[in-house]
Amino acid sequence: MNTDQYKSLKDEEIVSIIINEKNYDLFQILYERYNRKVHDKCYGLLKNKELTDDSVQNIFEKTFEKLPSFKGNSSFSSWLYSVSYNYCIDLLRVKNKLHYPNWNSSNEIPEIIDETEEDLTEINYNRLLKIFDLIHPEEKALLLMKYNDELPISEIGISLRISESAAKMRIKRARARVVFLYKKIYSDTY
Amino acid sequence: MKRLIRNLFLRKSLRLPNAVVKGFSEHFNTSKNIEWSKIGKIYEVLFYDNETEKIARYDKKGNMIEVRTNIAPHLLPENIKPVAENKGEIMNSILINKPDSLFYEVIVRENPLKRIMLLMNDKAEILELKVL
Repeated sequence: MNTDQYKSLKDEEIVSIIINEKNYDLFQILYERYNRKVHDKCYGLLKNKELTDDSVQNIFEKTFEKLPSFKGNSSFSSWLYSVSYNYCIDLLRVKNKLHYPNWNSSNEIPEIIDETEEDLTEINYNRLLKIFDLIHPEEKALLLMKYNDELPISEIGISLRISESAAKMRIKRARARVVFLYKKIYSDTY
Repeated sequence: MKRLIRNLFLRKSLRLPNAVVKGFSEHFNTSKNIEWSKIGKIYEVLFYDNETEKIARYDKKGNMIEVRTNIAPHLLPENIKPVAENKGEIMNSILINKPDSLFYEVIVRENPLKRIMLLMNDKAEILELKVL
């Protein structure tokens, strides 16, 4: 089927046609729009090409199956990213036996830096990404969901299977850890 | 890329009623890394107090509605901990301090992919149980 005439439509409009008119071929448009972005997010957490390729495939299959449950309370992209983070974190929890409480208690932040006393405006992006790779994948996912993808706290909580209060507090801690590590490792200059 | 850094480090300001600022500073004068937000009619502040994450909520008159404190599982009271552990391994625990009562929000792991949130009062009665 030629889907060209639908390519200018918004994500949510395409989802609506898929659900209401059962025009399943249109999912290909969404796949093409977001395949790369989902791939990058997964690789950022999984750090394994084969695992990432499989995961992206599974995430889109899962998204397709769950499409009728998409209520449109958030954008389709937010919803897809939320599904993606959830999939990757679940995978790491099972495969790598990720255990955040144990990791957190053995990696206590030595000092909560007062951010009002620091100039954080000159942070270097590449250095920041290196710091992100030093923290727990769940903390990394939380920071990316909140500050890069701007997902609502409710979606973040659902993705990581934690309450909204726990999500807020863990994001706070993850941010404090990033600031501490950045200052410790790159104390010469921000 | 720019969005990540901007959102992560740029401080957002929120216009707060004087009563709310006063109420907060009276309760927490050693707080740091304070982030305010408004949820409906409620003013919520997320901050560090003695190296611990806390969330406090105020009404517009500066009356404290509740304070949520992140606590390590081993600091849960003796009557609360076993009730939670009976449902699974404790993964997260929060003390909820309301003006007249204490509650505990505990997240337990039944298996690697199943987490349950328990809301308990200080008598260790489960008021809410929700699969997350």
